[in-house]
Amino acid sequence: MLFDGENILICEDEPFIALDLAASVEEAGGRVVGPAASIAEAERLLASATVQGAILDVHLTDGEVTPVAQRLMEAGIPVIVQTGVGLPDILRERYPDLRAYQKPVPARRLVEELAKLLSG
Amino acid sequence: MADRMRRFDWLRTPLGSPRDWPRSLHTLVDVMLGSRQPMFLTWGPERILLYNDSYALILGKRNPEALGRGFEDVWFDIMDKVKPILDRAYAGEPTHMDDIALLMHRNGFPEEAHFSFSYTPVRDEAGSVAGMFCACTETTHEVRTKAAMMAEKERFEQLFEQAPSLMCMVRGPEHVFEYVNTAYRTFVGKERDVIGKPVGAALPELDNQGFLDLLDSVYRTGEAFGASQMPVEIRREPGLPIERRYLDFIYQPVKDASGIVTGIFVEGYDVTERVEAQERQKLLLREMNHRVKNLFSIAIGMVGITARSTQTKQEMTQALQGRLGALARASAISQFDPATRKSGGGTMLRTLIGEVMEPYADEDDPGGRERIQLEGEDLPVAGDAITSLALALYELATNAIKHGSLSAPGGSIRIAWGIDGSALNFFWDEEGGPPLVERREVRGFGTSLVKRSLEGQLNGSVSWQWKRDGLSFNARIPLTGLAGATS
Repeated sequence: MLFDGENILICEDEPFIALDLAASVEEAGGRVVGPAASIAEAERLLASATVQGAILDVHLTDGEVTPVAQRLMEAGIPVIVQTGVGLPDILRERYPDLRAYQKPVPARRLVEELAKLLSG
Repeated sequence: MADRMRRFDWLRTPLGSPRDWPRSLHTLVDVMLGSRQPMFLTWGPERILLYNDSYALILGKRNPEALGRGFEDVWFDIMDKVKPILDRAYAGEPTHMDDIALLMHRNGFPEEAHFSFSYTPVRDEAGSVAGMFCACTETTHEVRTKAAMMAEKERFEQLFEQAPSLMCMVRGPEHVFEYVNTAYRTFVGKERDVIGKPVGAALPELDNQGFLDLLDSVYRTGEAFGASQMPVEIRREPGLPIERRYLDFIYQPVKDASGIVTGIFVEGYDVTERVEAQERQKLLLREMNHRVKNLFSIAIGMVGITARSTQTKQEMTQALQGRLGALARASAISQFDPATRKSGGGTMLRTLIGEVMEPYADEDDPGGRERIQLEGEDLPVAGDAITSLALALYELATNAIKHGSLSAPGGSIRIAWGIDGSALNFFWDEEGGPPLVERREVRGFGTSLVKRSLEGQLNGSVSWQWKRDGLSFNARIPLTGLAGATS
């Protein structure tokens, strides 16, 4: 098992990618928070759950994921980003260590990368 | 002519016998007769004309009667022009006449010839002006050359005027506009009078755009400069804002005979339309690239989902082919619109539904009824909403095939929609299906996908109702989401 029951937030608006990710996290022993298709939904979820890790898509239905990523990074929570166009400038400048993966990336790969951050 | 002058009866003229002529007159006559250059002299207050053979040709038909007659009498027809000059020479002032055109017959046919005349006062022993000596220089060749050059210049200017490219000539270190053609005038605004003004003053908006430095450099070094697709911010008409155009152009130094740069010839071509088309092309390519990556991301997700929700290889293959097919159909009907720079130039809802349901509509129907009925006013769908709707519809359809009305002979689906306020109200009603005993798909991936597509992505709300003979599905989707969402 890659995870040990940790709560993992997933932000992804594309249904197939989101459900594939969610299933992969569960199969790896994580608990899925989400998947959230919007920033608003993610914030709502974070208000009632603590998470130990997150896999985020950059473009959500109501804008770029930046506020969610910032909130998690400031709290020291491991974050993996996948994107079709690249990281928003503000995230790239502020968090040079933030790992971003160019779509398409298999869900399993993202899960493994997040697990490394969590154990590491 | 020497013979004729010797035989001439000078006693009949005011000059009298040559033996009594002053020495200065003799000397001049000798010089004149010994020269091949056309020369003549007039002597005495009567301005009696004496000349050599070459000048006789200039006289034409006036020769030989002109010899020994008064100059004013011989050239009566041009006296209004010549007399003041002659009078000044007689008053002691050397004078000059440039470019006198005369019709001459020296080659057996009439032809126009050009001469310049220099009149020199001649004084007698007493020191007063007794006559006037004139050496004539034929300038026909020079005049013709100059005329030919002028004609050439005019012809070039005519060509330049009609040329599609921008052309101008600027002179001197300040780059003063000397000539601009029609295309150039149109480019900088027809209202602008640039001739005679330095480039910097005539087109002030060019300041700090690099063009003046380039002109300076070409003027200084004498080396041509060429550029392609160079942006220029220019005011095309007074009152209009400055706009950006793109030019291909050359600055060609123009040098005088000694190789010194005196000006710069500018030729350019407005390639703005071409550059903009290339930009659109690049944008289109980038967008296509983005779409392809996005499609592959979805496809990879589909593989993961489908593998988990099917039991056998065959089942997975079928399900995956169906989903990929729906994705391909959605992709084919959504187009990138370069004008709005939005992905998904868009399609109509009826087209979209027809496209996704097409594989299920053409089966034999024993009841004679359409298996798939579409009812609703058409409305546009654009951007990622096309993919979301298509994939949701596909999940509904594949469920109907497996468990719903399309799994039974005579079963059908009525798809109806309408605009309700600011939302699309969409109904999916299955009829004639087998009695539903199991609802395993309700909590399956298919249902999740529909919910995520229409609620998550398009901000709508969905509800399922399982009736005895099939599914009744309803979705309300804000019209703003259908008009094209961000990806």
